[in-house]
Amino acid sequence: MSLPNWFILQSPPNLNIEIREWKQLALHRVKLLENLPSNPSQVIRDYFPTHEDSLDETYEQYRLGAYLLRLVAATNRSLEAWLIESEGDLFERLYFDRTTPDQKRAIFRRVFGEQNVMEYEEFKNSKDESKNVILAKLYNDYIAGLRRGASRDFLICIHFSQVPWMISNRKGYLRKGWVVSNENSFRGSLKKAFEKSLQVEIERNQNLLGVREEIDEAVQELEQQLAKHTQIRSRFSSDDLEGSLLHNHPEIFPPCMIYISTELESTRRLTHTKRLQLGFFLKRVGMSVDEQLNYWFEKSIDNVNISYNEFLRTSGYQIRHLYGLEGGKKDYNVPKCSTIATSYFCPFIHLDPESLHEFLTENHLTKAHSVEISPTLIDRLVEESSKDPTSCCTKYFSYIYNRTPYRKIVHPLQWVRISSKIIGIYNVGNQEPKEETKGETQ
Amino acid sequence: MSHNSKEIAIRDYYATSFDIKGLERVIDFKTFRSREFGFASLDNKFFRNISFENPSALNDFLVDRTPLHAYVGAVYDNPPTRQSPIHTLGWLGHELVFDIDLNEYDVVRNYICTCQGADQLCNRCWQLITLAINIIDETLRLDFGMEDIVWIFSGRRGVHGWVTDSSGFNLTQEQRMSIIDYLTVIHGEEETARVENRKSLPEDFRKRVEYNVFRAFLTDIKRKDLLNVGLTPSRASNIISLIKRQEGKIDEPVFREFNINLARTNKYDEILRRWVPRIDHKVTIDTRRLLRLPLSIHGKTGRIARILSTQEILNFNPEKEPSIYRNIVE
Repeated sequence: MSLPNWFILQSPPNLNIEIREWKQLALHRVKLLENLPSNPSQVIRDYFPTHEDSLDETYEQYRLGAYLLRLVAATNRSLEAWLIESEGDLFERLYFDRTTPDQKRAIFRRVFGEQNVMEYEEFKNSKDESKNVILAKLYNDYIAGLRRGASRDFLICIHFSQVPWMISNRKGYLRKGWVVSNENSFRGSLKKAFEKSLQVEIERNQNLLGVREEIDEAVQELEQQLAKHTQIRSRFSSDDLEGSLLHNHPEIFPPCMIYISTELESTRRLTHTKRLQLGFFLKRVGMSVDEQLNYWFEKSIDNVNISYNEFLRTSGYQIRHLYGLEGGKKDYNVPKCSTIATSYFCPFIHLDPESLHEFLTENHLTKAHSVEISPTLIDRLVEESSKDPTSCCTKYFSYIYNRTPYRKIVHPLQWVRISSKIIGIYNVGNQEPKEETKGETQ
Repeated sequence: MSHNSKEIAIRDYYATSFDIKGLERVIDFKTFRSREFGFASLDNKFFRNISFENPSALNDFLVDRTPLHAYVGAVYDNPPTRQSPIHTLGWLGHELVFDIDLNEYDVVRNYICTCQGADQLCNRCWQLITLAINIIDETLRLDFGMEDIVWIFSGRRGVHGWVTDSSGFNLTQEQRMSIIDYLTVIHGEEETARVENRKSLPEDFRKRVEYNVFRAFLTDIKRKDLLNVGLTPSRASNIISLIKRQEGKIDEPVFREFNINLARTNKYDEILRRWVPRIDHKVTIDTRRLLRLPLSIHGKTGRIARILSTQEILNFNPEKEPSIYRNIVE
């Protein structure tokens, strides 16, 4: 089992290279990573055409570029955050598009650690689980999947300590300290583990600085060059959306928030839960408490005939409460989709079919992106909405942005995070959003 | 009770009955030097960031200073001292610990027995603790593959479960939190806490929880309790007579009969809410927390935080535990 040649976390490449050439390879990698969010399929087609051996040299050059970038990231925390996130996205895409089952197994072992990965048969025999009925059922389901054509899928066992998200959400089958499941269900955890390994690698690379003067100089030059780079600089801070002023761009809001904000615009009144839902959301996409106080004062009909000071004294309490400035002083987050489904407002669940049809056909999103979705697709979404609202939301995302997210949309901020990447709103504080990329037909 | 008489009783215990070697069942002596300890003095002043060269130095300290409470914490890369407190040191590990305390059950205890207030407890409400131990212990062993689990009486109203496996020692807060999430069946502490959807629980785990909860619920059950959970009079009588026929034994047929009948009522969540484990999450997640030193004295009750064997757990009665203060005559 060997790692695929595009995989960057493997034995250091041959460093017998001219410094200037090496720097060019690093800049080439930056360009690749930058282009990825706007058009991933094209980037993969252009940069990673096949996995033939003849391309080994090209891939080695990619790894060399990535290697130098890691050295640069070791000197600048903000650059490190950008690099980890971007490499994580590239890894996810390549893993999905360019990896054979054997290579996937090798990646699992490299990313989670050799001691934390076991093959299904190995687990069954070493843990004396040959009579386990649930395990047998899992295996039968896997075989049935193979017969249906899921030939690239396989069962694998990961130690529970490596996949805390899956333990928290009780995903997979936990037995004797190992989570047994099919490869597909580990993908989210695999990406996180890859990013963690990359971070460890960057920290380890710090030791290589100060050894060769010419490398140090190249690293310093690149660091200065990249620190001036608008896209990277603006995404330096973290992957948190807070503080990024995304609230000025409703064209990247998820449908639930679009619906609620439109309702507020037209009726000037919202139910308590909708107010909370929108309030939490606006806070997390960068609206300050003062801006939000202003927002509600201007939008809501309840505030007619009262002064701003009076508003601050009465309704202001609720808004400051959202920010953890009053009452229990808790810093609230936006509820996830499953919570929204039961306690807040999700158009896919709470609108009647006719209203949902109308809303999905035309709203701020469709107008802002000049998208016309075929009535048949909308009909299908309406039909499926009550059964699986998150899938419908994900499909709707793909119709709006012409891009299918790797994973289901399960949180309003996930929609914002992906859509902002696609249309290129990184430094929204001083930059207008780019035109969305023209993509494949719907 | 005067400080002086307490001091004599505590010194007497640590000098004559306390066996420091027994501690090795819970904490690894190889890392003893860099482990944090904390103490509350007789006048209730609290000290932490203390370490000892070896176990006998700790023993001497306990005899000499007679602390009201003794606590043990995590292992660091250097011995914690006042000059180098724990926040300046690198954290190396802490055993995975679960704290189950009757305080957490105060909102639901009134459905189970008539005890009131913090100082009252009885065999029936202690059943809640036994039930929690059964579910957590079995889940840690079967689902998480942990083998060395020691249950220790806290000295007052609860127990501490120490997982002494090396695999538990290095777990991060996130990993500990995930174990708590897995074990959590109810969300919230209040009486109306939300019960996890039945379908979202793994099959093995759900059956384990149901079996233990229903068995505890049906033990010494009265007909009116069954009527209260929505069973019809005839079904309630059937179950009561079935239990009587089996001389009070709650086995698979009784469990199945009850489960089928319960499915017809909407009281499933209600029963679970009253009986399922309520773990103090903070204790498990906080990797720098100080916990009562096993085998030490609970200063308030005078009872010893002793290690419980599997057999003892089933029949344990905290009220019958001797107190070192029992012979003190003022």
